[in-house]
Amino acid sequence: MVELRGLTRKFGEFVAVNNLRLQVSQGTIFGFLGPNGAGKSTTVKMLTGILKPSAGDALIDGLSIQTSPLEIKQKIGVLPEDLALFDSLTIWEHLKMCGAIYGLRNSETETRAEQLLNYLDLWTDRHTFVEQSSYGMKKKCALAMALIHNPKVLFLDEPFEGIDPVTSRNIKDLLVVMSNKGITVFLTSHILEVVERLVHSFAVIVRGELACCQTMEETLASGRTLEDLYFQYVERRQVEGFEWIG
Amino acid sequence: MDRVAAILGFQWRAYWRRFHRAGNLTTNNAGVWILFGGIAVFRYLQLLPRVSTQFAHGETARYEALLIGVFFVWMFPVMGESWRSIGSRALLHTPLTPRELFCIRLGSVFVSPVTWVIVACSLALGYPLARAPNPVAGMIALVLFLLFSLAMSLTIAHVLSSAVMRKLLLGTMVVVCILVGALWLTKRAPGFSWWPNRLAADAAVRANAFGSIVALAALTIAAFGASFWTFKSGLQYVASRRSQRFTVLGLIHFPGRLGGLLKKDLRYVIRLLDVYFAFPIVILFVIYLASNPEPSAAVFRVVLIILFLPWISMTSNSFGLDTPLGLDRYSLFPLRGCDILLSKNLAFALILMLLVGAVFPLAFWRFGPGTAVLGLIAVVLMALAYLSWGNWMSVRDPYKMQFYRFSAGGSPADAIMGMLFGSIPGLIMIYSGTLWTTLLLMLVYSALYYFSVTRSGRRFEQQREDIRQALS
Repeated sequence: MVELRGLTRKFGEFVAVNNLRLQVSQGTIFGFLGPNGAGKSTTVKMLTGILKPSAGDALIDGLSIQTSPLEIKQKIGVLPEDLALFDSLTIWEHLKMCGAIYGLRNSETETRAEQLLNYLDLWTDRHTFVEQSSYGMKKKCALAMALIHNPKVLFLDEPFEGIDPVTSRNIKDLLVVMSNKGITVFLTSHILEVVERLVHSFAVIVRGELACCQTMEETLASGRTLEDLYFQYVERRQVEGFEWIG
Repeated sequence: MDRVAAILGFQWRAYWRRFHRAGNLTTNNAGVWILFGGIAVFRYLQLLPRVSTQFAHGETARYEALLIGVFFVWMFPVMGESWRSIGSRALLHTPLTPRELFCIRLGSVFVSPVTWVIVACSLALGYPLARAPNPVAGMIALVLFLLFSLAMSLTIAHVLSSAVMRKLLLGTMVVVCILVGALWLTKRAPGFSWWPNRLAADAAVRANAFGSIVALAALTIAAFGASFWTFKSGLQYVASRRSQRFTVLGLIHFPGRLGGLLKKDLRYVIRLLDVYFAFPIVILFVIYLASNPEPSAAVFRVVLIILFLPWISMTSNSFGLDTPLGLDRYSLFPLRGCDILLSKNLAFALILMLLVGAVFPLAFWRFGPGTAVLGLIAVVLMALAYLSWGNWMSVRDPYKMQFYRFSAGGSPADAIMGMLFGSIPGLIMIYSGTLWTTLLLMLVYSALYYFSVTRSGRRFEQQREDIRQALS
């Protein structure tokens, strides 16, 4: 369903993502992990059409991101890292705009938007302008926009960051339901405990290169946790020399 | 004050870093601005000896006119402030008092070299003042006038940041336009002796200069008080706001795939100050049409051409009010570049229809159907011409604009070219409004617009990352 074929992105001399190759099959919840600046968001941006790859290609539902970007955009839903909302529209207007752009009928858009906003506990705030909304509200709005047109593949960049525990749980439940219905979920997250319980398979990316890619079953069968495996590839520093604190 | 100085130091460093990063004079049209600014300064300096001669004869008409110009010029560094790296809102969480924040706001105006050029040019008025009867009093009054201009510019900038105050200001402007229009038509315009420019001139030539200086000082203190109060109110407003506001646009549903984007773009268009120059033109012309016993059809046609001029920055920089995040959202939607440009063009067309809608029923009544219909065709042709030019420029040379500010950063040469290009069909219609000319123009400009929107749409898709960079 999602296949990366040597995907590369350079910013001048700096190589943000280097020759990434991996496959995610249909109906999988896939975790894309790595430290800050590893290239996770750059990869998601390339897959979703925000950034053009410097080299390589990726297939989504059999379509190339290089040759069929519009067709792919019609099939995917995206929760981008920076949410990409318009300050001058309300939450409700964002969903209505989305529905129209994806070709949904007005009544259908309204029905789906109402259901999504109720589920995400955003219904009473639907007429709030995005510029006046909290970060969590904005994130829920962007998530509802990603879901409203019933995408085949869902790209979620840090979906649980800044979200209250109840909504976070609701989102996880929804992702499981979607996955059971054959929708592929490609998510990035720093919350390893959540990823461990939610995903079917995952990859760790470090300094733009793929460090590890395996299923959750394989990890657990080896007697290790996701955190153990993660720190095998990603360095961490010890707390020392902070005598001035406290 | 150490904290204020430290932040201003970083503001200064951030500004110059951005300035150096630009690399060359073509970035942000810096070269063109320097050229046009240089010509304007040269012309201004040429006027000073004439003002000096007038002063020697005890006259102040030119000096007063220059002071009005200086007053408006001061608005630009304050209101066209996309260069400010550290905004007051970003400092709200720090333990700075509102007074310190205001000092940072005030000091930030002087980070830009443009401000220092304006300061130097403003103080150059001291040269003609040397020949005035009261040079010292005149100089004191000039400095007070400059401080007054700065404080008023700050006040207006702060007022425009608050929705309620913006509406009050707009309402006041409409009422003033109607009153001035009515007084002008009835030739009863009063001469105010309390205008600050008049007070500054009086201090230089009148025997009782002290009175003028005291009055000017009082006005300056009041202006600074107002700027501080509006600044402080703006900070409090930002900290407490969270509302589900009622808006007229919120009630309107635009049909079609681009309906939602159109609503967003309409909200953007009405937040750029440049376009509000068209409103007084329409109000004054409506008063003229309604009250003049024999209105001129030639004036009607000229007004139609003038009506478009304030729109040049909006049409030529369609993405200027978009944020990089907004551009990301465009990338996520299954839309082509020409769809996005089309929604922006439709927003312009809708506002234009509103403006024109106020003029044409009266034009129909006063000039008859022939002139009115020809005028309407001229409007459509000019809109197509402006948009054809604008779409091309929007992807070729985008620059950042800010809500409730004047657009700043575009090339004046391109703007003049755009105005000329956009006005051509209107001028042709004035001189040769025959059926065949009209049909030919319709064909040419429709084709031109189609070519512009499709070609620029493709270029937008190809250069999206560059445009994003230009707007960040």
